[in-house]
This record gives sequence, structure tokens and C-alpha cells, in this order.
Amino acid sequence: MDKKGQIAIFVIVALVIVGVILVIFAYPQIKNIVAPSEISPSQYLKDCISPEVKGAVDILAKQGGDENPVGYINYLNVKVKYLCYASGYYKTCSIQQPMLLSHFSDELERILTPKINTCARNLIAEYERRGFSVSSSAISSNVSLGSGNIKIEFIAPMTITQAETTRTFDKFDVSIESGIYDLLSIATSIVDYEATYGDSETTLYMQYYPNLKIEKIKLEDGVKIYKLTDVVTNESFAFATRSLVWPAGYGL
Amino acid sequence: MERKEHYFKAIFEIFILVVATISFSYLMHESYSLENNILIREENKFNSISLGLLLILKVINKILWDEKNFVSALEINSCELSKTGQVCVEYLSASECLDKCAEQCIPTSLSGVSNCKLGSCFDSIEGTCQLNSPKRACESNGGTWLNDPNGNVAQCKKGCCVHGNNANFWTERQCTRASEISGIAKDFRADIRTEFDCIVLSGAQEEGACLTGKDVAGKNNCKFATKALCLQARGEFYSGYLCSNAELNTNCVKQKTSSCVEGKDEIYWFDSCGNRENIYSANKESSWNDGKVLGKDESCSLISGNNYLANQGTCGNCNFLLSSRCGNKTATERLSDAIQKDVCRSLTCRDENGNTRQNGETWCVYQGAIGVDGNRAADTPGSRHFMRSCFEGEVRIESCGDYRTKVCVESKTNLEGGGTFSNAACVPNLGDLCVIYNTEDDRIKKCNENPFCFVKETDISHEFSFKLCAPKYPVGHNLATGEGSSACALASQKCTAVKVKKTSGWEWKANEDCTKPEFAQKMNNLCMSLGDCGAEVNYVGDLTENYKVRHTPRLGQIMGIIKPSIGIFPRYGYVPNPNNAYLNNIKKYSDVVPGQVAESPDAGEFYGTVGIPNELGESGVVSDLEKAQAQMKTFGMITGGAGALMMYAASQGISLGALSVTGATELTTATLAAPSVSVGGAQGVAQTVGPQLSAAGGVIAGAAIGAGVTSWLISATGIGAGMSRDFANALIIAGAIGGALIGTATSATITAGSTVPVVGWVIVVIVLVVIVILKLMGVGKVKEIHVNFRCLPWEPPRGGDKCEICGDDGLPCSEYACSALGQTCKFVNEGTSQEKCINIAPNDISPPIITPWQEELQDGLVYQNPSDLGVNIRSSSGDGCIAAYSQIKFGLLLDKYGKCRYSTTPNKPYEEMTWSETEDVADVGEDLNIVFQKNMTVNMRMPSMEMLGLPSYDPNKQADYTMYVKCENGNGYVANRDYAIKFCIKPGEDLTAPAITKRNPAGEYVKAGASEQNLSIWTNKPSNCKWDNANKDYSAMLNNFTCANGFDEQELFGWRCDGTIPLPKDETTINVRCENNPWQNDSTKRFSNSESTPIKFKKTTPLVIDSASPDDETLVFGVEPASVEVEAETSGGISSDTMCGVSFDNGRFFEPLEGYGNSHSKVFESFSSGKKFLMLKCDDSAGNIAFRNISFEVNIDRKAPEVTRIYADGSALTIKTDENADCALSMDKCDFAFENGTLMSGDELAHTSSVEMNKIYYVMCKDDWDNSKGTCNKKIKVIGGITQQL
Repeated sequence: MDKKGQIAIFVIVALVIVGVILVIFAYPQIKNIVAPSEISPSQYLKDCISPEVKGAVDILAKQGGDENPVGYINYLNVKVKYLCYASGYYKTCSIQQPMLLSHFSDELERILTPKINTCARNLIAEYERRGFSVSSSAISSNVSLGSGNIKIEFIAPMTITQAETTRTFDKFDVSIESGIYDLLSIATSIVDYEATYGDSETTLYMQYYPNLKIEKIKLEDGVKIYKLTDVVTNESFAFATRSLVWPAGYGL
Repeated sequence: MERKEHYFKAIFEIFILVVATISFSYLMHESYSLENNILIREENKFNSISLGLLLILKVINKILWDEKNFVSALEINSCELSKTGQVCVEYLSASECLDKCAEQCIPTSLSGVSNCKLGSCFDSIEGTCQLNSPKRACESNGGTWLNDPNGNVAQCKKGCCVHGNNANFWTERQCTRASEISGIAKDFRADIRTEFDCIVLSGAQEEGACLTGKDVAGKNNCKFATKALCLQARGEFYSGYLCSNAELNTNCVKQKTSSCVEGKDEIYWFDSCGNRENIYSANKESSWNDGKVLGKDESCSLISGNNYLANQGTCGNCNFLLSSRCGNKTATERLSDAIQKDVCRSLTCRDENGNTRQNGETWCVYQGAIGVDGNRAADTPGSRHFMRSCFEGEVRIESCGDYRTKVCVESKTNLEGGGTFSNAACVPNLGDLCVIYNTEDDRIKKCNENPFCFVKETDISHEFSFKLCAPKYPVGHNLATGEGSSACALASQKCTAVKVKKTSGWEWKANEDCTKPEFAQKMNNLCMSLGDCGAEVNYVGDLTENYKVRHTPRLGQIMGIIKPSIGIFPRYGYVPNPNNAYLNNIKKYSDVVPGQVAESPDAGEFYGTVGIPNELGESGVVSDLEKAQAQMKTFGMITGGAGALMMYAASQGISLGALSVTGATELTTATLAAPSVSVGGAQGVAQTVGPQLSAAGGVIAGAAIGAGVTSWLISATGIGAGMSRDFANALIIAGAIGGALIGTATSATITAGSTVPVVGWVIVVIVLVVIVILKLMGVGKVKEIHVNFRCLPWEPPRGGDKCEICGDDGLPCSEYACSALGQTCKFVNEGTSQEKCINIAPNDISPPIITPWQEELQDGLVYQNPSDLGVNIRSSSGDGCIAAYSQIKFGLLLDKYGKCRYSTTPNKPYEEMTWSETEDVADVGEDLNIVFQKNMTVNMRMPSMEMLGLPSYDPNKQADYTMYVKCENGNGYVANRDYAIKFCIKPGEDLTAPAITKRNPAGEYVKAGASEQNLSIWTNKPSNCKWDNANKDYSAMLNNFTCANGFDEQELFGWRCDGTIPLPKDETTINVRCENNPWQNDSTKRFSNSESTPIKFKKTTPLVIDSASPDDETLVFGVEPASVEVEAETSGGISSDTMCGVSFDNGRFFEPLEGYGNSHSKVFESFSSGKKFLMLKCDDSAGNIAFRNISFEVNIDRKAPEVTRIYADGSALTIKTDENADCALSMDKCDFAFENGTLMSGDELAHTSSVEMNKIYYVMCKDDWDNSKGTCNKKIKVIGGITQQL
């Protein structure tokens, strides 16, 4: 066989392989036929909810923990919430959001709830599409923040039956890696300093926590934007403070 | 007849003696009166210039620094929720609050609002504790608010929570929560008290091989993990074993690769299964350690001597604290084993000078010289302080606040191995307090105590020297708005130099040094020390001179007496001899001084200055204003040039330089003779009052008359000041001799042809001729030269050529830095990554266009015929003319930022439309605004008719008065024609009596035991004032006030009169009346009050601190720092106005307690354990003051309760503890969670619970502060009613 023939065969084989791959991706049911697999409900839900979690955390994190903040500074077209605020000069600030962790997780849960329900319903639909019989009851959820992860409880009791196999689930736990808990903890501590001393020394935090990067951006009229970034996960949390502001000159 | 004649002679001689004595006394009096007049005038000048400004500063200080105490006076209002969503906000006025608050405004400061009280907010779910939380913010979020803002409560107590590979410094509830979420058993170490210790612990957990089943080949699967994780995974844990240990029969092969590990500093070996092994060492065998875990301390050493990276090529035992950490290898940093990709990389940095800095080191960077250089502050306009830090090999920079609102302080620690380690911090700049101290009695003491202040001495001459408290690192001014102009104006001073014509020519008598070049230099040193004022360079070295000086050379023109009467100061014989040495020295301040740093303030002062910035003030503003005003008088007398002059004169008894002073000194000589002359005369009278006078009596009387007349002539002609003392004495003696000879002849009835009276008359004539000649020569003439220095706010250079170099020095640009580079520089895109300093008008050559500003025109005035050339300002009533002396206000608008000057002479060049440097005339010109603005308000007083050359007594006269205005733009381009503002002026006649606008003290209460009280009153026009105990007409009142009636002596509240009122009784009331037009000699043109203003003084009782707590007691807390409430009860003084403060540093700084009246308290939240000594000080606005010392001890309970006894009565188990505690039982395990146990009843020393027989119970107790052992106290079993400890 001459070289041209060999090349032609290789090209045809390559085209066939690419075509098969495309068909499999275009028609997922074929994938099941070709490589039938057991659904991992937790993994399914995790895959479903993860992008949403990431998006929601991003939104909340860059706005000081609120989806629709009140009491904020507009910084680069982002409403960054004041976590500590003093209106006048020479005054240390008052804490505006005392329970930051709880508030953040409440906000996150509120944002994610519709998507959590959708994901749970999609899971049921997926089972049914695969020929399972599914009985389920009302869906609820619980979002909690932990050190290094965000835990989402899909409280979606369901019984899945196929042939003689029956499986019952009360809830599904999904853990998504995130450093937001630790960022919020640091933010809480910084806000403590702002309220007590009017400013914070950020170098020490970074010395203690080498993966942490803290940017302190000083805006006009004494407003400060803190941006905390986990350099490993690249997550960040931003918030604003205004504390112990000194006017220029003698104010005369 | 003869007898009659003798009587006549005797009576005449007696008359002469009496008259001579009186005349001597009169001359003495006149002399001293003149001296005093000069002194008083000097003092008042100083006060009028400076003290009004200090008053303003004091008021501003109250607003800025004492908002809390300012409540009642300025109606501070608090708002629980603002319209923009902020919680607990204070507003300076009720109207602002009503505008911005979403709820009801509360007319008090935040500390008075219960819902805004600060405490700790505990999240019972997450376990977090947010300190300093307002009550409302906490509870509205579902938190539990605890009444301690510092977290000194059990729920907020932190310990070390170990979970997985991590350890966090959390509350116990937080740790429990983490355990619930992760499923990892809770491991809370309450005994670990610091975050650092906790972090260290995270690297010291028990680790080992975790076997998790077998592979197909029968080998064990292995993971290297902590014990907790292994047990969670239900693995078999081999503590201290590596997975590659042959004993474990795993499939893992040792030391296949090496790499970094997240969260750890070192390089580690990894086995073929990917498990971490020991710290990398080129000596593999020692590193593997026979398959056992090798601790960090036992691993290879990276260090040798002082070299922290000595074994970088062979050892992976990096140490973050010693500036090394695992990272990718580089061209210069690598392991000897070329296969390995990671290395212990140096985390040190190179600073801006190329020096090595350790990781974590922080140091200060400045943009020029800082602090005090010699006797002046050196920080330049636009410059800031920065703090740099070395962070993992990267140098970071942080600005210490724009406008130098913070100072970078630095200290160095010597390292054992040599070298130093710098620690820097940005601390609040308390420099603006320094100026305020100048209103205080103990200003120098306070100045020396504040590390941000220094005592600025200005010593120009013996008579003109004073001390002011000035900032070491002056806070920058907003260069665009002219903020700080009042602070600069403190250095605007006038010195009166006096010279007298002598027979030998003109001679200086006082303040000669004020006319020398050093005057402007020394005054500029003061000026620039007060902030961005005067002649200074910006931080890139551009000099602008922002001051005005009259009758003294400017800074760059050091004068020499080379060619008298030539040059710009011909009148005083100066010649410009340019010498820029002074200015060059100032220019050097834009250069960084190597090694210069701001010293770190000591901890005691720092305690008082950080964190409690709004409580440095004193009591209520009204009383403080009064106090400030009262103190101003003292201030002016003691620190002012005039004050120094007065004190100097008083102590030395020497001449002060004016004619009258000299006259006084010389007349003293003559006066000394007067009593003897008088006595002699009296004796003569005694002897001659009989039949006839003696000849001696005639001699003495003649001598007295001769000396007296000569003295009077010397004084009356004014030549005395120009004569030497000896010459004056000789002339007086000659006059006396002449008089004596004539008197002798007269009394002894010597015949007319005798030579004795002829000689006498000749002598007298000679004396008279000498006096006339001296008078004709002008001897004794006095010249007063008012040498003025006006300190103006610093101005950036014209134009904007240098805007874009902002940030080129490697330090970030800012609004302040940008604005200092040029008049047309503007900082844009602030807060973004595109911050820039740009020139906003690079090609602008057109000067500003002026138009009238209608909104700023005073009611009753109108603009007429506005055009490009000017505008007329007229009264809206009558003939449109404005009365002389009346105060008017109008405004001008510019179409762009500009600076304007005016002159009363048309077509003057802009440069000449300013202060005359040689003349004391007002119509030469002046600045309309001192900074570039787009609009300006002009407040001015209409000139008198006399000033315009017309008689003011003619009511029908009118005069035109025109101000010619020119403006320049930011690039220095000036209009080529005047903008004329025209007025019509008519004579003003003041027919109304003055009104008292202000008094100080305002209240009636005075200090307990006071015998007199200084009283100042202000009137709305120049006046003379009197007081009397009885209510009389002005003319009948006996006591005068000393009043400043100069037209330019107007202060904030008008013209001031001072007096001292004796207080013989507990209550004294005086009556005050004033009279206007003090310059009118015709009393019918002066109008006085028809009614008196009564002013009452009432002595207070002494102020006493009756009780204070805590005192002499021991306070126990569970958490450090502890919160302690300090309380004081007072009586006496002005109870409604009493304020108390507490000092922790033996009286150097007092932090105010809350509350006026008799009860004062405040919670202090930062007490460590140990004995505490506090000083209490209470005072009121009357000046009463009381002190009291208290002491107490703070104990921190860190000990867990001990079980002292256990016994059972049947099934009832009783446990006794050595302190109050809660105890719980568990049948599960020893380290059970307390909250999961069964709580025993009783929370003091005895605890009971029913138990089952023959069962094992674990007992755990914790005290009120949650101190517990962490595990169970006891393990017990109850058998047949008897307890058995296991």
C-alpha cells in the first residue's frame, strides 16, 4: 500500500472517531446505551449546583455579603457594603453587619434555593428518564459554610425503584470546596479592629495566613475597601469601612 | 508793708515748692504712662491678630474632637437607621438628621441611645462573636447581644479548634459547628490562648500511616494522615510511621519525588503512592529515618551561623519565620539534586536602597525630610508617610493616609546574630492638637507630652520672642480649598521697631532685629511649622513663597548695608544682596534624609491617642469658649512678643525703647532729687514762716523751679529721648543752678545790679537755647516701624508641567500629592487602577472672566450696570450711596479657577497689586482670595470720608470709591485690564450707644475662694466702657475697662474691653455701661448706654470627689482583657458642668468619664491582670478642680474547677467543687462534650444528680468562665450507695 492509501485510511478512521464522539455528546441517551452508568445523586447535584454556588458566592463576596446591599459605597460600579461605618470625623465606626457568617450563608441559601429545587427535580427527571420509578416529597435545603467548604443539604426524600431494586434517600449532602468561610472570619476580625482602633494592620494577617492576600484600597473621604483573596482558590471577599476619618488640614 | 512783702514771698515760695513737686510727679506719671501705653498697645496687637484665630481653632477643635460633649450645644442627633441603610449614625445637627434618618432622630450622641450601645454579638448557630456591635444591629440579625463590647464573656472566649489538618482560633461553639459540618470529631483546646500558638499547633498533630485495606496483590493501601482523619476513614493508624515503612507491607516506595506542601513551609519527600514523607534532605537515609516520622527539629538544618540559607542546596527544612519557604527553583536558588523542582526560597526582600529586609519586616518610607529640623517642621507639601513591608520576597507599600493624617513610626530591634529588624506602623497624626494646646494654661507641658508636637521658639529680639506649640509632622492642608489658612495665620505677627533721633543721628531703641533679614526667616520658620504655609518646597523640590513681609527683606534677598538709600527699601537703608542660602536650605527638605524615621511614641501616650480619639476634649462648649477666651489673654501676655516684652521689662526694669520709656528712665534721676528738694523746701517754709523766709529757702525753691522747668521742657519738646542720660542730667542741673541763683537773689533781696541773678538768668537762657537748638535739630524724634509678617497658605506652583511625575518616585500618587505639583494638576480615576495626575488646563492662556455673584450680595445692596469692565454696587435705598464705615458683603464669580487681587489705583500691574513692602498704607492693593477659586465672597468695610480726602462732618458730601480687580488663571495668565467695582460713599454718623455682644466668663459662677475675676466684654463698635457697683450714668462710673478701639482691632465678637473685678463677697454684682465714638473729643458726639448691663458673680463651693470606685478591691474575670467600670461621685463646684476624667499614666493623659453633674462613670475594656493605679480628675468651667487616686487589682481566673468531694446517698450523687461551677455527667466517654452530658443541679459548690447503680459515670465541671479541664474531672461508679473513683 502506498503512502497515500495509508493516509486516507488514517483520515477515515479519525473522521469516524470524531463523528462517534459528536453523536454521543449530541445524544446523551446514546451515551447511556454505549456506556450505561449508575447515577451518583450527590455528584449529579454537585455538578448541577456548583456553577451556581460559585456565581452566587462571587456576587455576594464582591458586595460585602449582600446580594442587594443597603449602606454601601459604589466602587467601580459595584455596590460594596459597609461592614463598619462612621458618618463623621474622628469617630470609630459602628458595626453594620454583626453576624457576617450567618448572614452570608442565609443570603447564599436564598439565592440558591430555586436552583437547588431545580437540580433536585432534574435528578428525579434523570432517574425517570433512565427508567427508574421515583417517588418524592417536598424539597427543601440547607446551606452552611465550613472551613474549606460550603455544605449544601438537599433535603429531598425520594424512593427510587427499578425492577426489584429500591433505594431510599432522605437527603443528599453536597460539599463544594470554598475558602469563603476563612475569608469571612478574617473580615470579621478586621472589622473588629476598625471598630476599635479605626484601622487595621493587615500585614500580620498575611504573615499568619500565607495563602491570604489583603488589599486595602483607600478612597476619598476616608472610605476603605478591603479585598481579601485566597491566593490558592482565587476566591475573594470585598467590603467597605469608614472609620476614624481625619479631614485634610485643620478643617478650617 | 515789708512784713506784707515777706508774707507774699513766703506764700509764693510755698506755692513754687508745691507746684514743683506736683510738676515732678506729673512728669514722672506722664513718662510711665507713655511706657505703659506702648506696652498695652503691643499686647493688644498680638491678641487681635492671633487670639481670635486661636478661638476659632478652639471652636473647631470642639466640633471635631469633642462631638460627644458638644451634644447639648450643637444638637448632635443620633439615628438608629439611616435612609441609606447605615445603623447607628450620628449627625452634627438636628436638620441633617431629619434629612438623612429613616426613623426618629434622637437628640443625643450614640452613647446615649440604648439600641446603639456597643456589646458583643454572639451567633449561637455559627458560634462567632462580633465585638463592638450595636445592640440593634445584633438583635435585628438574630444574634444574642452581650453587654461587653470587648468580648469579655464566656461565649466569646476563644481557644484552638483542631480539625483535620487545620487548627483555628475559634470559640468553642464555632468549633462544635465545624465538627458538625465536617463530621470530624471536635477537638477544642481551651488552654491555648493565642492565635499564634494555635497556628503552630496545626503543624504538630499526631500523624502516621493509615492503612485502608489491601490491593489486589495483597499489599496494604496506605495514606499518610492525622489520627483524626484516619479514624474517620475507619483506617488502621500507625502513629509515627511512614507509608513506605517496610513493616507495613505497603506498595509504596520511599522518596520518589520531592515537592512543596500546601500550608507548610518545608520541602517534603513523597513516596510512590503520593504520600508525604519527611522533610527533604540530600542525605536520603537520614531523612527517611528508617520509615519513621522525623520531626522538624530533628531534620537537616538549613541554617549555619547567621546564614539562614547556608544549606539551601541540600536541605529542605525551610522556615517561614526565618525568611525561607518552599517554592519553585530559580536560576540562582536550587537544590543540588537537579531533578528536584523545589527549593527553600529566600523570602527576604531588597528595599529601595538595595538593603536586605527579612520577611515580615516593615519600615517607613518618606518623600523628603520629616519632623523637626532644628527649630522648624520639615515635612513638605504634598508629601506623605508610607510603610513598606517585606512579604514573602515581595515589597509591599501602604500609604499612611493622605494629607499626612498618619505618621509612619519605626523602631529597630537588634538581632542576636547581628543586623536589625525594623518594625513600622502608621499611627494617627495628633499634630493638629498642638496648635490647640496654645489656648491651654499648661500648653508647654502638654506640648512636650504629645510626641507629635514640639515647642517652637521664635526669638527675634529681646522684646519680640515667644513660644508656640507646633506640630512635628504638620497635617497637610487641602491645597484646593485653602483649608488651613487660619492655622497659617497664627504666624502672622506684627513687631513694632522703634528708633530715636540722637544728637549723633538715628539710633535704635527697640526691636531693631525685627527690621533685619532674619525676621522674615524666623517668622517663616514658624509659618512653615504650622502646616502647608509660607515659603516651602513641595515634595519634588519646587519652591513657592507664600508670605508677605513689610519693612523687612524677603527671604531670598538677604540685605547688606552696602549702598544705603538704594534698593527697594530706601527708607531704611537696605540694599538687596541676593543670597538664597535660606531658601536653599528649605529646598533641601524635598530630599529624603537617609536613616531618618519618626520615633515611635511610647505606649502610655499611644493608649490615650489611639482608639479614643473623640474624647480628648473638655467640658461643654459654651464654658470652653469662655475658658479659651480667658486663656487667650494669659496666652498673649505670656507667650506673645508683647507679653515677653512686658515680663522682660518688669523683671529688668530697663528701657523698652520708646521715647517715653527713655524719658522715664532719665526723669527718674531727676525725680530722685525731687523729694529732697521738696523736703528742703518744706523745711525752709517751716523756718521762714515767722517773720520772713530764709535765703536758703529761696535757693532751694529756685533750684526746684529751674530743674522742674528744664525737665518739663525736655519732656514737652520731646528731645529727652534723643539725649544721653548724662547730657540730660547736666541740662537739668544747669537749669536748677540757674533757678537757684535767681531764687537766692530774690529771697535775699539782693539788689538788681548784683551779678548773682544775672549769672542765673544767663544760665537759664543758655539752657533754653540748647533746648531750642536740640529741638530744631530734631533730637528726640521717634519713628515706629511696624514690621509685619503675614503667613499665607502654601500654594502649588503655577501651571501643571509636572503633574504627570506624580508616582514616578515609586510611591503611589494621591489627591494631595497631585495637587501639590501644580495649580492645574488634578487627580483622576481615584480608587481605580487608572489613577492619574493630569494637567487639566495645559494650554489655557485666557484669564478668568469676572461677573457679579448675585446670591452673595448683601440685602439692601444692588448691582448696577454690570459689564465686562465692571459693576456698580449701590444701596437700594436713598441716593444709592453707602455709609462710611459700614460693613458690606458682595460676591464675584469666575468662569474658571482663578486668584484675584484689587487695588484702588487703576491699571496697576498684577504683581504690584499687593501689600506694599515699604508703606503702611491700605490702598495699595490686596488679595481678594488666597487660593484659586471659582467664586469669592468679599467682606469689607467702607472707607471713611477722611480716607477719601473729604470731610466727614458734611452730610451732603459724597465720594466715589473704586476697587480695580485683576485675576490670574492657574497658569499665571492675568487680564490686561481692570474689572472696576464702583461704590458711592456718604458720611456715616453713629448716634447709637454701643451694645455688649459677648462677655467672658458668660456664666455667673466663679472659682471657690476667688478674690477677683478677670472680665472681658465685647462691643459691636469701638467704645470705652466703665463699671461700678452702683447703677450710675456712664460719666459717674468710677472704674474703667481697658478697651481695644483700633479700627483693625476687631475680633470675632467685636471690640474687646478687659477689666479685673474684685470679689469681696460671695456674690458681687457690677453695672457696665459703654460709650461710642471714643475718638471724638467733643463729648456731645459720644453716646453712652442709658441703662446699665448688670453682671453678677457668684463664688462656688469647692469641688470634691466624694467617692470613687473600684478602689482597694480585687476584681475577678475569666477573660483577658477585662472590662471595669470606673465611677466617681462629686459635690460642689458647678454641678451641672462638672466633668471627670481618669488617667492611667499618672496624670499625663486623662480620658473623660461619661456624664455631667455629680455622677460620672465609664467602662474601660482593656485591663490586663495585676494591680492598677488610676488618677481621677474632675473640674468645672469655673476653674474648680479636684483629684483622687484609686487602685484595685484585676485577677483572671484561668483555673478549671476541681472536684473536692464525691459521695452518694442511695442513688443521689453529690459532687463538691472548689469554686462555683456547673457539672455534667456522661456515661459515654471521658472527653464528652459538656453540652451533651446530663447537667447536675446546683451551680455553686454542690452539685447533685440521681444515678444508676453499678454504672460508670464521667463527671465534667466548668466554672462561670467556661474553664474546664477539657476532659472529665472524675470517672466514678456508685456501688450500693458508695461511690468508687476509677
